[in-house]
Amino acid sequence: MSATTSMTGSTTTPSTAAARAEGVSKYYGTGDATVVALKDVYVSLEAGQFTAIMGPSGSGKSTLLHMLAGLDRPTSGEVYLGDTQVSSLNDKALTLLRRDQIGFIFQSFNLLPTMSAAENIVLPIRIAGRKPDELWVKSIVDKLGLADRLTHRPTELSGGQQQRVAAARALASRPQIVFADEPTGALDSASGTELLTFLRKAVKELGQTVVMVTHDPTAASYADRVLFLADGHVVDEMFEPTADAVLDFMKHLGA
Amino acid sequence: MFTATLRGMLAHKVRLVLTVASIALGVAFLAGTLVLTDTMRLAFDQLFGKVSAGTDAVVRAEAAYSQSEGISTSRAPIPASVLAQVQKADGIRTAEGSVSGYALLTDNGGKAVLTSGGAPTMGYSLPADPALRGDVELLSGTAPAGPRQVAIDATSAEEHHIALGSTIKVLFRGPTQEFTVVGTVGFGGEKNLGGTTGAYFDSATAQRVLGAPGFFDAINASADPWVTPAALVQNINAVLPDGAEAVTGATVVKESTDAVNEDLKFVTVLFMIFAGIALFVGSFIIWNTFTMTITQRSREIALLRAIGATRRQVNRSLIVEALLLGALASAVGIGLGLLVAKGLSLLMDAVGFSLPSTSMQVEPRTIVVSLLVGTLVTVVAALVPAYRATKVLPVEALREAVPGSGNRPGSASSPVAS
Repeated sequence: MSATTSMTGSTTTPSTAAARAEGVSKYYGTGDATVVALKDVYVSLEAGQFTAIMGPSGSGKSTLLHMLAGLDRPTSGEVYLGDTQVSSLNDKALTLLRRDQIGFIFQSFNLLPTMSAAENIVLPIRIAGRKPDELWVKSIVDKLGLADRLTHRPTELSGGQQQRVAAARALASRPQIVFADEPTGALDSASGTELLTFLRKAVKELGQTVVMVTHDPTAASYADRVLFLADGHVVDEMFEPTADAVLDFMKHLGA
Repeated sequence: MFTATLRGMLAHKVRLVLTVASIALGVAFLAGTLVLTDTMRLAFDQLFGKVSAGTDAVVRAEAAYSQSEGISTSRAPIPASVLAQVQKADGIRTAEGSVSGYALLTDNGGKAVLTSGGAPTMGYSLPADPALRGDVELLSGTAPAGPRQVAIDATSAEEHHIALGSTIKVLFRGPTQEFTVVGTVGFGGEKNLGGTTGAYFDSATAQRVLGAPGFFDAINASADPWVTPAALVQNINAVLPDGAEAVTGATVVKESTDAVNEDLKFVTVLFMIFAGIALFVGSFIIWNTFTMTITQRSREIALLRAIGATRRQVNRSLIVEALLLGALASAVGIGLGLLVAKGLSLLMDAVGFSLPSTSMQVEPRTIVVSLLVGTLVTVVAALVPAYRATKVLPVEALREAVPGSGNRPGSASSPVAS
């Protein structure tokens, strides 16, 4: 395993990439207080793949996710979602892009406590003013084993169940790409395994593109490909990872 | 979005109740004022209408000033000789002179029957013809006849145990005199007239004790059934000497009503100031609450922004929340306003100024104005906080609050957990 920072640059064509970052940098603050979160990052995320982004805290992995998901704008560089140049979009267009093309799974679930599971699942679709595709939603709900939990409020659900509701919400509108930010971070290992198995299945069976930020080597082992970040750079990547291999590499990085 | 808004409101019941209360209070003052003034206005309209019911024309001395000031205009008395001339006018059924003036009743023990709340103590001539009495009615006994008889208001009779047949002293501007009580008088179901005490005499006695012999305050006339009041007024004016004028009963009612309304304006303005202050304070509470709400809900708002709610949708959902809140608070305020109006009228009753009774007047205007004002104030107060909410960044949904997660930006720990 060797550091191959350049290989993810221009070798992939836009047609197969679900999302790309080209020379993306992100700075926080100004002057002496400037913090560099990302430095000239090139990544290309393949459609229909499960990609994990790993790295120690402060490596910029979350920042990279924010940029790719259109939640934040890079200081310089370009982000593409499919063929859409994200940086050229105004706030409204970017919001609609997130609404229609992107699904989110957050570490702390972020369900609306006043709404039932079913209502939470179709919330993005409702916000768009559309009718949910009942059959599709039902198939996801069944896959996640949530059928008998739909009328429950988030407070009546376990953490694992809540995160599965969040996963259903992310997939309900058939997004181009699902971004998951430490999705297993707040779950016990059994619930985490359940969720990761589902994400794996979504990629394999439904052709869903999934990008996950995690610091958990076991979680990363469910991915097709792992990108390693350190100090705002992509330092390496790994295909068909195993938990042990990832852990070894992370130890190496952390040292 | 709309459901989310509604659920969010209902989820915080205490906050909902407090914010509703803050606006409802102001609206209650507003609605209460409108209801009370409408009620008082109608009550006085009815009162003056009833008092002068049956009187088609009123003959009075022309006012010294061209500007009429209604009941407060002081007019010179009319010579009794005019009555004979008026009675000759075409279409007249009957006409009588009326006199009123200061008269203080005393009870059987000689103690003065005082009024509370500054209501006047009055003496009146009681018309012989019941049609000219308006809604003054004999509740017991007979009408006073002759120089030694008086009828008094039923309240004074009851509260001071003045029985029919007893002899009481009545104080005037002139010398005090003794009268035998022969009857009690009511006013269209009320036992007194807005807290005043009343002593009723026959016309000649009234002239002698209340005014001046040979003079009336005014002459009230009733028309033949086929003659309109306007025609009667015309006929009377044709025979009147200079210095006297005839107007319709309705004109007098209107003048009186206008004068009272002028007085009520003060009450209205006072309560409106209260309402204004309450709403002003209420708007700050709303502003503050919405600002707090948005801080508390910033994660929720960030989530909505992240999963695709536009700034406009966030803004609108909060405005809708303010709108609902305002409408609800206004509705509650209108309900409270009725209680306020009721309370104020009871208060006035307690200090002896019993208003002529009529049911609470809730005009459509009251509802519309109260709803509009309450809702508008709430929405305007929420505008700035709602705008601020649109500045919540979607990224904030990802700033994790879960302890030990270690992926907050700037976090010191570097967990490589299994």
